[in-house]
Amino acid sequence: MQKILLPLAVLAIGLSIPADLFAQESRSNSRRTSIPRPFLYAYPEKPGESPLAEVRKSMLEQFDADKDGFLNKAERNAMRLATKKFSDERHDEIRRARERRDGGREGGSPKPPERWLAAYDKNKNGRFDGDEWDTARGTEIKNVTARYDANKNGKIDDDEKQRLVENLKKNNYNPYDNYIRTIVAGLRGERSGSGRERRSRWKEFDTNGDGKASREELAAIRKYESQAQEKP
Amino acid sequence: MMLRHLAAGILLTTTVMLGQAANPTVVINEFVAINDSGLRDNEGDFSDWLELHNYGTETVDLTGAALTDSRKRLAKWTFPETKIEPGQYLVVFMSGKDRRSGDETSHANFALRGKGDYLGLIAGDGETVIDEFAPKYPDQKKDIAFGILPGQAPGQAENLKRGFLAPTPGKTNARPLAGTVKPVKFSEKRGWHEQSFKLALSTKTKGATIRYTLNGTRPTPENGHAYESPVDIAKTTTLRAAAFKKGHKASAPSTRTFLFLNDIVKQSPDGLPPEYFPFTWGDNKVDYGMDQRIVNDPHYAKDLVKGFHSLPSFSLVMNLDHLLDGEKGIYANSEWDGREAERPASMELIHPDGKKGFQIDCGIRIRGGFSRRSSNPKHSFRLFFRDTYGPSKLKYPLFGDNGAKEFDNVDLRTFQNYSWHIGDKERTIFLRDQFNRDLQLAMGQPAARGKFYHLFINGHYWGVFNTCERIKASYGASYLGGKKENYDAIKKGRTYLEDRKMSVGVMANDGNLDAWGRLCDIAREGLESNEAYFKMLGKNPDGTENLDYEGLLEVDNLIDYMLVIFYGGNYDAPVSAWGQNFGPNNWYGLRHRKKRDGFRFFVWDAEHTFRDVREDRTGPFPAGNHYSSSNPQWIWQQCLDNEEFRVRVGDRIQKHFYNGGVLTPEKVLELFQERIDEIEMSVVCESARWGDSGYTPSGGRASTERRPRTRDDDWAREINRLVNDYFPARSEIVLSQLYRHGAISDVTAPAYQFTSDKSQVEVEAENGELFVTTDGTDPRQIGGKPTPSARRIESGKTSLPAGKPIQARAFHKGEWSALVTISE
Repeated sequence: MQKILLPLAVLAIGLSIPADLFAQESRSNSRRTSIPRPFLYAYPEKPGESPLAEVRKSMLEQFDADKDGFLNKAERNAMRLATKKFSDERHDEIRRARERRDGGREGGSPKPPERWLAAYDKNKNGRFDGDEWDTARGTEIKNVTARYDANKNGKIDDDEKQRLVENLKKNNYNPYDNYIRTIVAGLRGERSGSGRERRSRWKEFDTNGDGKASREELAAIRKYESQAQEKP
Repeated sequence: MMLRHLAAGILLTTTVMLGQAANPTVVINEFVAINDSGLRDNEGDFSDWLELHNYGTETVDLTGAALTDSRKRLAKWTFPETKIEPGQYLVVFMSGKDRRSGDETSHANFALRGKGDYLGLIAGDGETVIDEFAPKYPDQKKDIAFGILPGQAPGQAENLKRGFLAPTPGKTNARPLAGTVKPVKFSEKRGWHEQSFKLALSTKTKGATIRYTLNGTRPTPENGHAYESPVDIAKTTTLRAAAFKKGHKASAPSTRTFLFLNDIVKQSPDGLPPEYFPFTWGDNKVDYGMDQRIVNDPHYAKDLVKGFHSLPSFSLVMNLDHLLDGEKGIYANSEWDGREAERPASMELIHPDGKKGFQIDCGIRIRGGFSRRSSNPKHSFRLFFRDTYGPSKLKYPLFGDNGAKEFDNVDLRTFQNYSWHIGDKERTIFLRDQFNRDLQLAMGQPAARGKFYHLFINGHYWGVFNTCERIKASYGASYLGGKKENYDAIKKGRTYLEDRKMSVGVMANDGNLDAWGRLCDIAREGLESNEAYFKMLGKNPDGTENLDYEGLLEVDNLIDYMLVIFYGGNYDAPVSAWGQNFGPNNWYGLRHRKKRDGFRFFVWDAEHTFRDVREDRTGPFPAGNHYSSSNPQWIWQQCLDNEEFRVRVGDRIQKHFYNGGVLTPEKVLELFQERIDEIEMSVVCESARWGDSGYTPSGGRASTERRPRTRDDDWAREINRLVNDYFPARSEIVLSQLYRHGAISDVTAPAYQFTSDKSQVEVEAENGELFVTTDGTDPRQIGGKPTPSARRIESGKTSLPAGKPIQARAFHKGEWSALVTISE
């Protein structure tokens, strides 16, 4: 019971850290998630005048087995292993929470298509565990590369990339294929139907339609602006 | 490129062996012996090349025929099965690569000499000369072909006149060229000007005409203004000029930027684009303006002027369509990456004191990850120096006397995560990433150097940027020695490993991942024993060298790197807290495959640092538990299982956190102040350019409802927080975090003090005995026994002559203190 309570207690302490914590800014800006942030590692939580002495004192209380006021090599190692164990347990909690949310996928990624689960979910538990995810995406990448590598040089060249992207667009690609597109094709964040241009508020003044500001067009815009400001 | 060309005519079915025909109809039509920027071979290189032409009516079989540059060895390189159809042209790359494919990807086993040399086409009998340049062809010119002059009836080679030509690989020979026009000279230097002037352009080539542009485009016979008389320069101007003469190769364009402060501070006051610039940048947010509230503020007006002259300036001049056009511009499509997203440009360096800078034609791409999004109006750049554009290296001491003098590429980064132009962050200081790299350098480790510059794009002010060396094989060759081909340069990325049947989150920019894989495998098996730990370092368990083992890790480098990470509270490297510490990010490693050195690691993209003074990134973290997420912090964590490593960590902590070490508050503040001094004035310029960006509508004028971010209200506030609150407290907080990992001994390290005349140094252990050496060895051996050469001082106090380096440790209750190294 203590094993469970201790990390939970520390978790509670961690989550009660004051709101002006700088790291809070990043949490408040991030997507809402049920995965706890590792704020426990903002340590020491309330540094006093001499944090090192305070930590030493606290560690002595816990690990000075022979009570000589001094941590020897073995006692320091015990302290190190306890720190490691604490962190491991904390991150195991986070990992389990991620698995419950994502089915073993990278955080925030969409649900994999059925064909991926059918092919790579070896233990048939409906999610990716351990190396299943790495194997899934690795094999998919390899298959796509083989399919589009027309000149068989082992990589996707520029023209092959273009064909790949066009095919993915045509198929209204599943977001997981988006993963393939970004990894294999090396294109980041290209949106389906992208290429849209922001409309310039000055479009009507672009009299020659070249999209660029000529001296005459700029003069016309500024004249218009100044007249607009003069009007009551 | 089509390198075979069928002339109009009938394809005959008869074939003759070259050398068997009574009148062989193949000639060496043209060749280029100095190919710097013309035809690329199938492997992307600018290889020398020659072109054969079959001017006859029958197919000629070249199988067994030869090319040679030696009359003593006529069959130097023989053709594989190759035929050349009537009227066809066949290009062979004279690269020395020796590839026998029988088509346009064939490479001879020798290259052509630029100085005159013999060249021959020999029949399959190994003796009969079909065509030759004997005794030798004339000295060759860069990117100019030598071959059969056009306008002659086809026939045997000895009957044809040859000369210099514009290269036409795979096609009929074109116009002859007499040479290359000399570059254009300018009558005024680039840089800052206060008075208007008349700019005269000239070239040494008589009879040449000069054309110039003012919009960043390359001048051509069809593009630009014809130069007739000196050009009036009265405002910020970027001028590109080239000279042309019939029958000659045009000069490379020369580019010069003239900066006038008076118009720079008034650029786009209403948000409108400057002349020649587009109204929109594709999908990207547009922001042009210099905020006149800053420019006209009496509090900032003088510092604005000082600011522009406080830093050197880069002037990027290029075709703006290549940058900002919605369809093909790389800035407007900032997510594009790779070679296809590289565009030609000119880059000049202008020093405010008139010191010599440089101008170089280069390739430019957008750089970055998070910063590429289209909501960001200020992107980062990466410059590539290739002979496609100009010199293949930038030869300039960009990072001072201690830095490299030659570069294959350079980064011009902005400030992404804590900046005014992305997210309008109040904690913007522009120094986070650079200062972390400074700390690594100050510790004596290699790191990516950087400095701050203003950037102008086609004369328009674009803000303050930070140069950053790239950690690639070329960096290793420059700073660590050896050839760049022998380096593994690795980083967080994505690679598919065939042998492991998996995709992993690490990639090799240069070299391969083999050694990194071996390092991770050894670390995964456990490093608790000295046998395993020292074997990883190429050593025996007693720490002596074992040449049968490879060195895979530079231990001091890893420790120092991690201390910088911990000191900064780095949230996003090499393990990212954004992924709950399960994944790596932002790390680079470098290793020479043939030396005894192991992997070294480099601070990279340290934007998420110096946030909360309590931030604890000492872990341990799960990232790295699978090879797929391997990273240097995981290696550190594995190493911590070994006692000797923990002792060494304690020693490096002692070195850097005490006695004026790099991570003491005093030293950190001293180093930080240098960077503050460097950019303090220029922050006003950045404030005028980007301080309002967070709430300025795309392409519009800055809102008057909110004040812009300023140096004194915003930048200075965060600087003061760091100087007054963060840095004074941070060192000891990090020590308290590291203490829990067992790396800091409870035995206090010896203290020392020099006498007033510096002739002696008094060394004292607070508790226990003192052990000292003066021969450079550690008083403690591997395993914990005193070194035989160590002096044991039972009293714990001694005085030693200064001058020689002294190593000292205290020994108390069976425990050693950290090592103290004392030198003047």
